[in-house]
Amino acid sequence: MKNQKSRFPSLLVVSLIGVLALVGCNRSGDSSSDTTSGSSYSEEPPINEYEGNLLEHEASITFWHTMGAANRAVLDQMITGFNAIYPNITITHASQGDYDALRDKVSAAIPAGTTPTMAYCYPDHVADYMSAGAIQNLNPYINSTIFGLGLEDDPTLAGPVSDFIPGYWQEGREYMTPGTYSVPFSKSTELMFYNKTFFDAHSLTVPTSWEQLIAVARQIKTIDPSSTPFGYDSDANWFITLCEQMGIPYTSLNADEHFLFNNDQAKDMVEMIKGWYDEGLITTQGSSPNNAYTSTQFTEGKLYMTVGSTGGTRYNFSTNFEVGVAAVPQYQGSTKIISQGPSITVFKRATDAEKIAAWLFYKWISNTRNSAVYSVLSGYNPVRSSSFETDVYTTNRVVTPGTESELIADVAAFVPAIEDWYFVSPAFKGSSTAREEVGGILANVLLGLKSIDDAFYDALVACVFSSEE
Amino acid sequence: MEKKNNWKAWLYLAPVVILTGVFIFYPLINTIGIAFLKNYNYLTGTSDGFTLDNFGYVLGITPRMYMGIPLYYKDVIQIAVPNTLLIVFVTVPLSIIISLLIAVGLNSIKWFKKILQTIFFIPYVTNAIAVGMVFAVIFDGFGLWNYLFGIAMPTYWIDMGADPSKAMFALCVYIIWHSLPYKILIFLSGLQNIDKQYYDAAKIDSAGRFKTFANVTVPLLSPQILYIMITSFIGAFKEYSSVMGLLGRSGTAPGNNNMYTIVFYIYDSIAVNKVHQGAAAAVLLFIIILAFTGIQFWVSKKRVHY
Amino acid sequence: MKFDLRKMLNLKSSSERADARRERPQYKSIDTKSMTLVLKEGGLTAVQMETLQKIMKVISMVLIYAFLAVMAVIILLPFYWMIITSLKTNTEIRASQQTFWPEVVMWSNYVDVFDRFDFATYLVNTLVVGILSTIGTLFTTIFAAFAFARLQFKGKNFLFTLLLATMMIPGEMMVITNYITVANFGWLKDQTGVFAAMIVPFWISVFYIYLLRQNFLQIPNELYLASKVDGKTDWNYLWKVMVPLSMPTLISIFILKLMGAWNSFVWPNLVADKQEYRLITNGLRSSFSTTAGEPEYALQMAATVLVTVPLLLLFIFFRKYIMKGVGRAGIKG
Repeated sequence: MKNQKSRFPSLLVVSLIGVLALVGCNRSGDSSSDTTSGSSYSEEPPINEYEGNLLEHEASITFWHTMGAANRAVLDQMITGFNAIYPNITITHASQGDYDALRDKVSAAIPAGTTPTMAYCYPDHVADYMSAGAIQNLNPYINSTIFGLGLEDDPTLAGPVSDFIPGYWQEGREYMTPGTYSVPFSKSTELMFYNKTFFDAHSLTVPTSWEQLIAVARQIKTIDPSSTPFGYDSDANWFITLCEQMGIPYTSLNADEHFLFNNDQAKDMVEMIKGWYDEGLITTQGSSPNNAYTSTQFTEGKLYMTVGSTGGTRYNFSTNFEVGVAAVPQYQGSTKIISQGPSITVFKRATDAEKIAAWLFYKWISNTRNSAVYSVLSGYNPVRSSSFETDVYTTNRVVTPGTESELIADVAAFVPAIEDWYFVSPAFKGSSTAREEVGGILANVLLGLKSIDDAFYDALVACVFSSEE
Repeated sequence: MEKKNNWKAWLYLAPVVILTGVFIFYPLINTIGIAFLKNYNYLTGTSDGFTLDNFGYVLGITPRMYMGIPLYYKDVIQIAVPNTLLIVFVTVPLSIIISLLIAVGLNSIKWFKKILQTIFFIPYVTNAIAVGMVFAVIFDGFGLWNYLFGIAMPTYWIDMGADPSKAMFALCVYIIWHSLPYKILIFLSGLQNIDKQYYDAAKIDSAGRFKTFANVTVPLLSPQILYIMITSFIGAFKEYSSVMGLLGRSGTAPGNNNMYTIVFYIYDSIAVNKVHQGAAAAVLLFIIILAFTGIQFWVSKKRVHY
Repeated sequence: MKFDLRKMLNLKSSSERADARRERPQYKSIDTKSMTLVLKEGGLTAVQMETLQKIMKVISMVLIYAFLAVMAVIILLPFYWMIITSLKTNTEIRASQQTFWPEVVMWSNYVDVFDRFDFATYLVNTLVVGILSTIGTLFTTIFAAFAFARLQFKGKNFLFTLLLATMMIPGEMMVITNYITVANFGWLKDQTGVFAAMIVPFWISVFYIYLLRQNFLQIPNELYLASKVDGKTDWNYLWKVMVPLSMPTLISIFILKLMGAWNSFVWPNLVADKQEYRLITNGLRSSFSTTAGEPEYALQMAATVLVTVPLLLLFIFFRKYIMKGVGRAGIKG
């Protein structure tokens, strides 16, 4: 990455000087006092005359995320590359723990006026922050003719919007107000990992539908009665994915009826899963009594198939058997898999210079090459289609046979095939609660801690009581 | 005989008055105010005016209509309150009895007294979160507890899917363990203050150990017992970090708050931006504690010997 | 119902109580008749009686020691378990046959922990925050306790009652308002500010004011009057007489407060938004939260050992002050 320094002499950047009509939102002295009826987000932000050039303006930006040490090191490399282009921009970044901790921190920082410039986010978090008027609509930046996406001679090498995986890009636009409030960065999806050694030995077919899955699971059960053939790591994702595949209402953007999951079809669906569970065919993380991820149980040989996040591919690797990769089973020909993993959002409160700096930084870390680099090193998916074709992603990948890097490579090779399958659920204030609660429905019903009706009622109560009256 | 020196006194008190004003009383009043606000949003500081509904919601008596269905919030009244009361009425008496016995034992021995006294105080200097994590290991499905008591492994106490009464048992064991040292110390220093002549008198009367304990020790320790009762009851009503340390979550399944305590609920309410309901719960808790403490004083008035 | 918390908590000074004891007649509920009863029923001679009593005494001492030993084991077991778990492999921890000594001693667990757990930074931060907040607390406490113990002023009882009443309030509800307050002070922008936010709100402890006031009250009035005669000011009297006389209590407060900083979790977690500002307990909770798979008990316990040991050392060195300081609270009512 370092050799890119020579490719972008500062001259090139200096050529950007001129009348930089930089867009951005006025730094309204106190953004938290903006009252927040959704309508305060207009598509047309005030446009400021921005004098001078990007290089003369010192800007310090803060980036909050949840990266572990390994991924932070990758980010530091990217920052070094970025500072070679923009030495005037200082980037501080810090992990805030897990996603919940990050959300709590940001939620507390909003009224206090101490928000960072940019942060990792899930759409539900953004919906929360938006209700406090804290999030910057990025459309003006995306469409800017000076530093937008897909411009020629862009020192950050950021390709056009159309290069982003559509499902990922769309997620940042699924809010109650029009605009783009988050942009994809470290995305993942779910895949099914199966014990290829076992499947080959017993000539089992890898299932592509739930019907087939259950049939195969029953076969496995006759071969190895002590096993649980199938595990789904995330209870919430299974519930939501099945709703999406089966066309069952889950949530909607309609403010009066956000929470639609309390319906008979969904209850039937849960009853169906409960039947499989009682038969000993399936398990989930939430219903695994010893708290174990299904990926762990899979690698220990207790399961023969498991659905898990591509971001956690390495946890499905085992030295005891060969691991195969397949798509998540579908329902009657549907093609739906969930898109997950954090995006990045920019806070309104930052100054114009900071927001532009943050945007430039985002463009840099999400460009074709960097997205591929981050993907290869972290196991997340690239956010740009063009990243799949880079040498970083394909030929230069370091693969040591018989290690987890091989499985990561298998996943990387598989992911482009399901590029169009991604769906996202609507994001609104309270959608994160809905997500947690439906996961809870499944776990509680499977564990027998609640009846189906009680579990649905409790989940709905939890959702409604955490939303506004 | 000493004249009033108002301004000087207030000068000495200024740091405390300012700090309590800013960091205790103002937030407290703010909290009480929030309990009466509809749709209070702490992110923006806005609300939709005065309401009493927050109390009704928390108590599970006022429904919220959603798409034509009345919904009642039950986690506080059906889970948090019973759990808190269970913790209060199980851990406080048990830990008082155990610590009293240990203190009396320590007071009646000569050898190893110092070392034992030190050992019994050690849990006091530990971190609730850290030790909670240790107890989580002990109560693991494959943990020490099951092993020691010959319970088939894995039997789950605090893991996903564990029966809430089992998790509550583990929690109470942990709370009692963690609350013993302070009580032992207070009782022991109380015992050491008791005049020897009472015991000598009991000896002359050749009263048995138990009789001496019941008729001499307990009455003479009553100020300490009252003090310990009040502080432990208040502490038990506010139990939170023990649950956090032991379980790290509010229940034995995701989306299940079966291990809620009242303060855990209050805490959760901040996280999901329903501070107004949390504030109402906090006000109710304050009233409960106040009433409870008042009753204890009232009951003990004639029973405590000074 | 009359509810005067101050009077209720400030029961009686110990001298008053000692007087009360002296005045109280011999304990009534044991009467001498029972003694004769025992003699008659036992039908024993005085010598036999004495031997029996001796045997009974030995038996009861054995029982007491046995009871105390069992309880001591129960108290110590979690610490032992923490240490040996920190030295086991994860497989051994989850084996169905639990071992009381690690099969393979995994010192490498500690190396792994140091990789993920920035102990040195957390330690320095915790000490800085702990010591500064403790020193501030000592000053505010000394001043306030002096005013409450020594000076007469309007509203004294009311204010003291009010302060004591705050001890009953669940602190959790103040967190959000306080967070907004420190942010409005502009304290969350840099390290100094964040440290101020972790220190200043804790410059007050109602409990320690109460503790020290009780201590000050014990200092005989005559000393004060004598110092007045000598022409000493209140200020002089406070620092030259009261503070030196209360040194043990002040040292106890210092150590207990320091331990409090070591254990504080919720508030530092909220205000310290950068890894390098965090305190030790937050590090403990957050360092092992994002790893996938089953909980890494060995590493968790290794980190827990690192957090617990300094406290235990502090305790061993200052045992007397800690135990006296904590014990004092109860004696005074």
